[in-house]
Amino acid sequence: MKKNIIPFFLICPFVLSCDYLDTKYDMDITTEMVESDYTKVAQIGQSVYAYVKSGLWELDGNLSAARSDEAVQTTPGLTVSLYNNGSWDDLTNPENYLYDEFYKGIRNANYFLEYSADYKELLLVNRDTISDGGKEYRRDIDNIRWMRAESRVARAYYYFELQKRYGGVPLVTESLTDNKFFPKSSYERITDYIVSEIDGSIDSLRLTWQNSYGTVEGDKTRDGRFTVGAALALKSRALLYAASPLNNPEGDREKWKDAANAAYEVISMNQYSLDDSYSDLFVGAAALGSPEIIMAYRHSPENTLEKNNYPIGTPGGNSGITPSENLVSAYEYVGEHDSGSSRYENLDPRFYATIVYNGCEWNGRIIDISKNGQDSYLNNQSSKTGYYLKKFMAPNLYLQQDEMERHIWPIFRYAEVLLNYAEAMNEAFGPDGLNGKSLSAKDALNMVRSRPGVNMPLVTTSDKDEFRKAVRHERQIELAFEGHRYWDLVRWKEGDVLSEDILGVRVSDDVSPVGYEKIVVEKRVFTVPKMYRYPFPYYEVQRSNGILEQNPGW
Amino acid sequence: MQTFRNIKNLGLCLGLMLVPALETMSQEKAGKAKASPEIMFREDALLTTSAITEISGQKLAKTPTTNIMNTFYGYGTGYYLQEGSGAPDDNAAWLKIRGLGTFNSADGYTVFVDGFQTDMSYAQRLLPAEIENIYILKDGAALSTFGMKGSNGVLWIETKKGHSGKPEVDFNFRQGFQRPLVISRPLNSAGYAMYYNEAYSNDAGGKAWTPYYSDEQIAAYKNGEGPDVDWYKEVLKEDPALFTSADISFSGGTSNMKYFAVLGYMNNSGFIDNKRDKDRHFSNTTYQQYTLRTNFEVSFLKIFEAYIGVGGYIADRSAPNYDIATLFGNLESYPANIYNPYDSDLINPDGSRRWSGTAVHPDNPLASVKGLGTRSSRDRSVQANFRLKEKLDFITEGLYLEEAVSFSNWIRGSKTVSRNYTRWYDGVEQTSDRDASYTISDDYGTNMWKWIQLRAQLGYDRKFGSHSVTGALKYEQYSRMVDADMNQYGFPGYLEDNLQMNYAYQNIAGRFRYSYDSRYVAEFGFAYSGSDNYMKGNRFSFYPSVSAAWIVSNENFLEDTESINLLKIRASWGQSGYDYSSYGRYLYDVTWTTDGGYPVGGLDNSEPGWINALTPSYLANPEITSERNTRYNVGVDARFFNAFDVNIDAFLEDRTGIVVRDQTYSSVVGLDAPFVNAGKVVTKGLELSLGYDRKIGPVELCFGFRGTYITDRVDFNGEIPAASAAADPVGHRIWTYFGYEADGFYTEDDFGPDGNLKTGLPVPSFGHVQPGDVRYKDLYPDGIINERDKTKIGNRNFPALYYSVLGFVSYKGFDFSFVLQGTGGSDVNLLDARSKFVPFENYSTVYGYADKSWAYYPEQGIDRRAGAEFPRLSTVTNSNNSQASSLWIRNGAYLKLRNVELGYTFPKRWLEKIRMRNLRIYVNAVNLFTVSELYCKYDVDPERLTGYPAVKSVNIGLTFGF
Repeated sequence: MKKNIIPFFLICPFVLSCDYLDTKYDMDITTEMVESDYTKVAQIGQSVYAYVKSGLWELDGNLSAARSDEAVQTTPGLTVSLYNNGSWDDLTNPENYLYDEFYKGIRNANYFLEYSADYKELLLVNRDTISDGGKEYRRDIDNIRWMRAESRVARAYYYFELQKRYGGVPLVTESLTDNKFFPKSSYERITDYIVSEIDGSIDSLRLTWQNSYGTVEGDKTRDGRFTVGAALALKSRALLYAASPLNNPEGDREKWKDAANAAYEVISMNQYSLDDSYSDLFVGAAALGSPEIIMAYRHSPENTLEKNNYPIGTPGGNSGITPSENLVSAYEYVGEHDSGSSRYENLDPRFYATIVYNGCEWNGRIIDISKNGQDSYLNNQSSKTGYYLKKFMAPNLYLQQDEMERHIWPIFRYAEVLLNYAEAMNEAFGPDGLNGKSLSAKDALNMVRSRPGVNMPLVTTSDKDEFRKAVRHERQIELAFEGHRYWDLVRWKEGDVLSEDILGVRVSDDVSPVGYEKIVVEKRVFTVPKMYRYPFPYYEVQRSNGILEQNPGW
Repeated sequence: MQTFRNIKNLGLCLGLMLVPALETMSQEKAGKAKASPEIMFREDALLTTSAITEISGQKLAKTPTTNIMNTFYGYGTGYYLQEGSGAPDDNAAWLKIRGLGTFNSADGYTVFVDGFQTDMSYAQRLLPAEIENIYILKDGAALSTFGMKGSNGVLWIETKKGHSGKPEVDFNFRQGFQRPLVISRPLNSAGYAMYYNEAYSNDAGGKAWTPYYSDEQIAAYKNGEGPDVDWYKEVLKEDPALFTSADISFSGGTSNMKYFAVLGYMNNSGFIDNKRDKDRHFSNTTYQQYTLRTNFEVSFLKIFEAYIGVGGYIADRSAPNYDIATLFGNLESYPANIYNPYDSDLINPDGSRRWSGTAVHPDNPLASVKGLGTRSSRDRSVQANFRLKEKLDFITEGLYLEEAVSFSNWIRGSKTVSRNYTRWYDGVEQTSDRDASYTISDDYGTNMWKWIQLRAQLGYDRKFGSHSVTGALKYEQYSRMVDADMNQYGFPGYLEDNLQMNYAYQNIAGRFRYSYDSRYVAEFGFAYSGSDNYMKGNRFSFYPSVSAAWIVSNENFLEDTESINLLKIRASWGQSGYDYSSYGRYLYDVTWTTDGGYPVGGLDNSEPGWINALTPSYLANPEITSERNTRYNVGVDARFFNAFDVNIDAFLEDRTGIVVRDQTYSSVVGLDAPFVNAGKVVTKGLELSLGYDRKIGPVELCFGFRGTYITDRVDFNGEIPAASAAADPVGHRIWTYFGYEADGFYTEDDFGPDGNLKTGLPVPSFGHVQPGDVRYKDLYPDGIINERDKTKIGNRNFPALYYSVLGFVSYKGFDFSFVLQGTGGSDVNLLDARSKFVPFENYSTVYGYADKSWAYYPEQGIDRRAGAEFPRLSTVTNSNNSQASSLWIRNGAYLKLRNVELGYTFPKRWLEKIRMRNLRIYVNAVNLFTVSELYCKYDVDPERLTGYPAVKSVNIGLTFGF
């Protein structure tokens, strides 16, 4: 003991510089580990997807429909009420966190693109390219090349989600390591960037993950990532928003043309078509493999949505998001409605796929909203509107035994592209204009209306304003609860719709057939033009020292 | 030797006040000085320039518990102990030395046993019988050599050593009877149903009475026809939990060789009923510990002194195979009427009965302890120290060299015997759980830690006439390995099994003292320590200290004064650091995590895959290093008229470089901001200790007061200033409560006919409100109640004042003592006990104080508008009412009778006949009563709002020696 320690003690001033303190806990991944491992390089590439959102979780862990005129939220005190009563601001905006998250997604894309700039060399490190004829190496090269293109599209997606909310935002195209603030770029600048990023990456994107094409094999396990169709659908949506009244106050017709051309690019791929069944498309995993789905977020089996939104009268349900009378009365009757028949007879078939109403069967029982019924408005937490949500809900889950079902959220689907096209073509060339294309605005709209199983009467008007109303109405119906309504109203500058009273129905007693009276269930506050744009988050504005200018009115 | 007498007097009542008088007297007669720690060299009680609290090991035995952290409430100044769970295997009180000091939640004191750092899982299980003294090192001088381990104070424990003389054998036996300190019971089914009807009607608008439970149902509950279960009664046993401990110690030796050995046993059962039922289900939280220690000192060949100390324990514990914290959460929140424990008298094929359970109340509390099997674990821990000292007087007198090595480890093996059960309700299977037979899983010690420590020291101690010089210089290092499962600092991401974390630390430290004539003392100390948490180049820091003392009573002009026995003035300045932060280690380096991802695939009805996203955890900061705490301390120690003791310490701690996240980083950077050494906290405090001891004939009296007042202020926390200047933590105490200022409750008059708030009234941004909801002040008058209206709503849940009153009286063989301990200047947020104070939320139950909630149903004869303390009841989460607000803040102050004891010591002359050295029997009680607003109004322990309750106990004890 003595022998060992005395010399050690004498040299101790020198050992202080030795490596005794070079410990490392081997739990976290260090940069060295990342650089020596292809899987990790690929995982950096995958990080560009980390903030691609599913609308099933958008607001209060539920659909965002209750912030628009589509629905009201039954559960009190959720953050959606901040939007509904107009008390949200730069501090309390429930979506403030998205500003952080989308820029994280952008950073992940920027970083991966820089990191993998020399990916062919990067992949050669420690690589055996001989024994299998270099097959694995070439496969990895392809993978990284696709991922680089997908990164650019993902970055465009995040910028679109930002501009949709904030208008012009800071444009950051490189990965930063030091603290830096940028002033807002204009809305047009962001749109141009989105378009150029998508155009620049189209050639390197996969056409599909599901099937093989050319020499490239299909890989269904990667389905869900960006493809050519998804990138073009994103471009179509971005250009449609850019041409809309809110972002195109001068009414520049060229912007509508661009939007129409972008939608037409998707249509002319001839890869997508409308699904045969509107009612099945949103239930379970049916959407996967449907020719209508361009890109979808796939949830593992779960029942949060059902727990939130099943009627309170169904064990385990909490009523949650309940469709409004405002939406219900927007559904057309097929032909003339006979005043002697039930209120809910003979409606647009999409109504029955979307809404649970009085007297219909849902989860094995008949919904009864009459005063003494199981779903009476007198019951605590029953639907205030008299309706319950059906779209996206898996039917007949036995929540008490925690039964679950898969859910698919369409990020882009073909019907939206057709409606984008119809809207843009009408603004650019009127309902019947073709401008060298194979499809008019009216054709596109009527394709959506004449889907098998929907078969609504065709729209015949040739008046541009009438047709505009028809397209807007069609979006409200076809895309209900898919997260479009609020943003459509905003870009159309229809703020007054967002401040209209939300209506529900009560059964009028002793009338046959059952009569309904409309009642106001919720007052809404929406201040224009202020609320057409989100306020930048309070803390971000504060710390930018004036570089980031707050949006007007906030 | 006037000086020597002073030391004795000082020791009499300062620290040993509650030691039975005979012990004290015998110590005095034996000429023992006041105990002092050996930090590099044995501290001199008179000459010390440091602020140190000492607690004698004998006092610790007064609280029968399996954890020594519960044994020293109120015995000294400068520390705060908060009682926690009373579960026998998880009952460590929370110790803070001189206040919070920092908002870095990973900061904690460091613990040393016999001069070597170790982990609390070892130290807290030491027996009172093996502890000589506990010291709490508080100021810059005391902590001068601890470097990066000293910022939060040090708990320094020394075990008993042998003595030269004839062998002594001491025996201690203790038997305790424990009950929960308090249990607040929810209402029964009828009470639940009545308030639920009210809440239900409130939620339907509050205008009409729309009951959920019919009068018949309520009547049935009252008649005992419906389920009406007192879950506490089902799960907890009626008899008290038992604590038993016995230990025997041996000590003795010659001038060359001394030994001390102790053998101990402890057994403590918990509150859960462990009676076997007819299905042979049983389990309880139990704890059983065996301790063995030997301390052996030997000197040989004139220059060598060797010391070997080995102490360790074996602890076996068992518990129901269900998380005990969750179980108590369920007991607090499951209503009485949900179901009976057994669904029916139907019998399963294996002969057992069917447990009840539903989707919203899946974990039937009785089934949780009886139907899921048991968990047991075996802890093994040991610390082995070896020290060799060479006296080098042949080189120069007073010079010595010392080498020491210490190994310590702790390992836990565990075994789970688990099963599951079907949840039944009305004969229908609920949830996806199904009856399953027992399965056994073993874990052979992946939970462990170990330390290897080396130390070498060169020292010098010599007197030259009136000049005295003492000094030492040491080098020490440790490596410590902790199994990944034990990781207590919450590292993000990437965990795999059986990974180990290594820690390394190096320290060069020195202390040099010069004193003149026992009147003037000056001391210099330093530590130069390095931690592996930082980047090369930033690992080492230097922490100096200087201190001085003036023993005024040894001056000529006071030496003959009988009225002043001791008067000493101390002052110290010193720095230390701390090398952990709540954000983890290696903050200088980029690490990557796979948080988040994106689902892919899933076609053809396959399960979707998940692609992992690999991203950096945060931006790295190569400059990151240890925080620095600069301490100032002045103190006075005095004794007057051989009866009165006064100790005063005033201190200031200036902590800088606390690791915080740099929140000035823009979101557009897209990565979590780096950590920087920027946080600042200033702590100030005053400690006062008063004592009086007197012997009047056969009566011996001792009374004392200990008081510590501490306040602090956050000077910088790295955050962007809060939207409301009044709610910015900077400038306030750490943990100050911020929120909305409640302004009573909304009334019918505040609403228009459409049920909406009248225009002009501020709109809360938390959703729709109605009469009976909390109204907040619009402090930032913009017509909206939101973040901008927040302000300070209360003190924090940490006392500014921590005090105790101690007493001891003896008359002939009888002795009586007590410890009253209290706090002041703290507040409690009732929302921290949501399940008790927010009824019905998340299907929870309701408590009796629902009668203080706002309600108005005139037709039902319900009108509790006047004097309402809580908002209207609701069956769901009410976002408006559950905002942090002044409505929920209550005074957290309390006064507890921590200990009261009556003992009888048999006269020596009787014992001599049977060759006994001493014999004492006693009875005592722990936590006998509590005075506090929370306790008196809501049956809630102010120290522990929820969870496994703290313990109160009555105990008997016997000690004797040969």
